[in-house]
Amino acid sequence: MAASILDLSPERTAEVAEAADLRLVQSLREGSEWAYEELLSRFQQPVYALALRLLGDSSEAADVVQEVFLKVFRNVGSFRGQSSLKTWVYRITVNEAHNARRWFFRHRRHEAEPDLAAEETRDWRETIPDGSRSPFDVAFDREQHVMIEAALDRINPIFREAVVLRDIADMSYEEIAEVLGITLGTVKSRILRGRGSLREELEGSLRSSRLLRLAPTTAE
Amino acid sequence: MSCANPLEMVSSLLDGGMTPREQKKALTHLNSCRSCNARFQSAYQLRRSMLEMDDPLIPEALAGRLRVLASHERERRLRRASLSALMRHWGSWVWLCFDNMMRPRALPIAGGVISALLLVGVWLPALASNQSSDDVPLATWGYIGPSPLDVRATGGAGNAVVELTIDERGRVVDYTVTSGAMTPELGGMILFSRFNPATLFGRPTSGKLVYRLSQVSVIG
Repeated sequence: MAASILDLSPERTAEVAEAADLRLVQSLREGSEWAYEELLSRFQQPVYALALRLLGDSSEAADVVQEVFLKVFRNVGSFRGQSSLKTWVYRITVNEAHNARRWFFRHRRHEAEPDLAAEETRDWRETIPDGSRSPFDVAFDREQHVMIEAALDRINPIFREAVVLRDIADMSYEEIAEVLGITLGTVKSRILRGRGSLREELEGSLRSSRLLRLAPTTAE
Repeated sequence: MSCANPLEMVSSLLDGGMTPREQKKALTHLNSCRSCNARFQSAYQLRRSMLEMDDPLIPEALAGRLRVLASHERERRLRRASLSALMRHWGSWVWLCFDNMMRPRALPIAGGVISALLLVGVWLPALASNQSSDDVPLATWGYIGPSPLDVRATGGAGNAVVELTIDERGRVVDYTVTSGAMTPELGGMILFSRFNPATLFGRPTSGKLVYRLSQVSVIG
């Protein structure tokens, strides 16, 4: 079983992705309306998700996303294609999240705001039942995800970045190294320590509930 | 392979960071070591759960703001492409400002102008008819006419034109013969004649009178 699960994340062919990126960047430079639409549709959702996971605050994440796209639009002329467009955008996102986190801890950590954004933006598709899975499975997974998100919030932000990029955004070590501006060895080390911290946090949470039982068995 | 560093082994195995030979040794070890196998299964399940986690949906308001931002940035890029585009942009901007400024004022201004025109149209005939024909002109000279009773000819004379200077009492203080001949008797007659004086603002004042003498008969 272990051998069969090693190829978890299928990757797009690099050449196709690179050509598409360059075409998109060229169109952005020319001011093509299509290119701006395409960039937003490709990146606004993952960039928001990444920013929210790095910051844990929806309003901060929204500000960061706007800053990220402003920088992308204004600096697209200086994009040389040495890395993929995704890596470049994610790198800007991580840097902006760093800046926002620093600012947040200096100025606003004592403020508390009701988080209404998530409720306001519930999509209608979320209300349609998924017939392929049982309500127990859905509730179980949802509970798992909530616990994982909460555990991620508690680990060191430096390790969290690496784990989020690897295990949620499904980026390769090389891409993570480019995004974070660190060496491959450091990436590996941060992921290892981040996973260890995450595991410890989850074990602490699961001691009572035993929710994340990893090999479910049927009753005999 | 032993259980010396299971976390690193599991992490490397999950991320495909092993050579084929190392991977084969690790899998062999997992098959023989229940503890490491359970750890691997646990890490695998956790990673799969994280990969399956739904991205938080981007708020509609933020998506809208991003579209506006993209539109502004595209316009900004286009207008910087050439001088004519820049001039066109500034022209449209000035026109827009003028339009925005005038639009709320257009109705009040038009109403004011029309009201003023109507008012002037109504009052102008009334003002014009207010002047009566028998009114005393203020800054004009009054009529100077000879007093027939005071003209006494003392001798005969041909046709002559004299310019008389008459004071505010109607007496001749000087005269000049502009054409014709003048006898001493006629001069004496002029000097002792009385005229109605000119008037200014209704009051007698000095003035000049051009007087033609013709066929004057001497009486007595």
